[in-house]
Amino acid sequence: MKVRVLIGEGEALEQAHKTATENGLKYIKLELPSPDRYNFNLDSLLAYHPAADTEVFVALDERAVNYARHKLIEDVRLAGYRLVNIVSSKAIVDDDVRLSGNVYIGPGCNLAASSIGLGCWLTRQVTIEQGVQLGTCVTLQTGVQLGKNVQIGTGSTLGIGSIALANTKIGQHCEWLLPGTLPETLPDRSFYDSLIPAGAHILG
Amino acid sequence: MSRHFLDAKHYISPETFALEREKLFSRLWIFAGFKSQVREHNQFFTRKVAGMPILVQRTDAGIRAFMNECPHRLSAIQTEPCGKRPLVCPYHAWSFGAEGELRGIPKQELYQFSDAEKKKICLHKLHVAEIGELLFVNFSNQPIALEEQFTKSYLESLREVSSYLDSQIIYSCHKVRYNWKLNMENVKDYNHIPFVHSKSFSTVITSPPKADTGKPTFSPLAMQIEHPPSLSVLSYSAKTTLTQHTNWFANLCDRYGEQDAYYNWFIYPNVNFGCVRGESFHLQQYDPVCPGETDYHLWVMTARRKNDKSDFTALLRSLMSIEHSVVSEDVVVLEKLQAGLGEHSREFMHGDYEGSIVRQHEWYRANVLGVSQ
Repeated sequence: MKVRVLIGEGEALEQAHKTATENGLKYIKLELPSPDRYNFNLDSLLAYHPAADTEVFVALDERAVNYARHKLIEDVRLAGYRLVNIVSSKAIVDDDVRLSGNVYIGPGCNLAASSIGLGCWLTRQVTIEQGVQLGTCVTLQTGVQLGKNVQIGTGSTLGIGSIALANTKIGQHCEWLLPGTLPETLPDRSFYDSLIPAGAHILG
Repeated sequence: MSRHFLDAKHYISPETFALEREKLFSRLWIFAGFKSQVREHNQFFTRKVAGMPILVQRTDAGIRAFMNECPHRLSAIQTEPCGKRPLVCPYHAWSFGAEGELRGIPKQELYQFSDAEKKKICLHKLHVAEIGELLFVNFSNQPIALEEQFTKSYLESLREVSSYLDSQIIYSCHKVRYNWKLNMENVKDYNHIPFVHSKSFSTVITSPPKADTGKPTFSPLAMQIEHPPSLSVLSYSAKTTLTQHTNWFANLCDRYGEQDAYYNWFIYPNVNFGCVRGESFHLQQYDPVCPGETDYHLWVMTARRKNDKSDFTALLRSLMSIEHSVVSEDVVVLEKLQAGLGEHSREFMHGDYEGSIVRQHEWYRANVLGVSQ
């Protein structure tokens, strides 16, 4: 039996630990030190939990447009660790949903047949219709609803209660942190929040 | 000595707004964008400048600017904000050459244009000036010399600093409910910083801005000697010192100037170009929509990356949020100021430190309103 270790920081780590515990799973919680909230020191994992005997779940929020979680997952994979998913026992997940590893599915989520990329984080009560494709390290906050065949690119975040109608296409590393329905398409690296409701985007 | 030079009605009057379009925005060189936006052949960007739709595109002839209107039915030639495609109108597929000349009209027989008519058909070409990496357009058929609008040393300074701009740019545009002039005056008024930005910008600056000559940027009104001032004095640079700090990305960029300095280039009529610690840049443009409404364009970039592969997506997103935090503090004040303006409004009461705003008003009175001193 392999030892399961939860690594990360902050609220995401607490949330993942709570969900895992509610599922009756034993995890060792390991809060990682970081000088800048982006680069994390893996020494404590490497020293006490050999890769051969350990399964890891990385719990980190959407900071730095999800680059921080992606980087930590890559660091852990490069160190030879196997990644596991955490799926709340209070979530409904169809059999043909594909989870690519280190996926968090929180309480109350409801997923029809879809593809969920490595490191995706579905906070709670997220509803996903058939044919949805989520790239690597997508974050869907509480109450997000995705219609059929929605595509979301790597590293994007949709904020609380937002709705993507069927066939919506969201580019890579986008942030939509406004309530309501998203536009039909969002180009790569577009950012919307209460401070920038008209949006900003990286040119080219 | 008067402390009032421009009546409040000129911030709300449609007549003044029309005069501005004719005598200011159709006459002066106006910032349009960055060269990095049109690096490749047929790369273009579109936007409005003072309500006029323009298209800037790199053609076989170089960087060219046109009114974004097909001479046929006035449809837009390029319909996206940016992209890469030839000069072909999507409506009836009229195509145009490097200088905007007509290249082809499908189904010519339907039009029955004479040769003489066809020779006259072309895009409305605008004059373009490249000042380093900055692109300016001029709507006049016979534009003023750049050296009339900006001093030679100022042009040199813009060329130098713009060579430090990175090509990866984050951009936003939002509407604000005040006259564009209020924002240009606001950025030249350093005395609002401790009051409006007490918890943001004010916490990192250590002294008031000084002009690059070393003299105070805002000379006392009494020292005004030229009436009205020349156009070129309305654009100037300033510098102030910041608290010591080094950002994590500083060593990944070719930094401009001094590490703990904040630089400004006020580019008349409607641009504030700034540099923070030589590491990052912002360019704000206040583009008039109507007397009480302005498009607030904001471009943010780092200093040139040493390695093109450095991915600054998250950094640019963060820098843009910081900019918007500060900008939103100004917007609250200026929107309320604008909302209060009306027939009842009294005269402004400028202090000595507002010399640069007064100079701006004096020039504006003489050259836009046509009022002699």
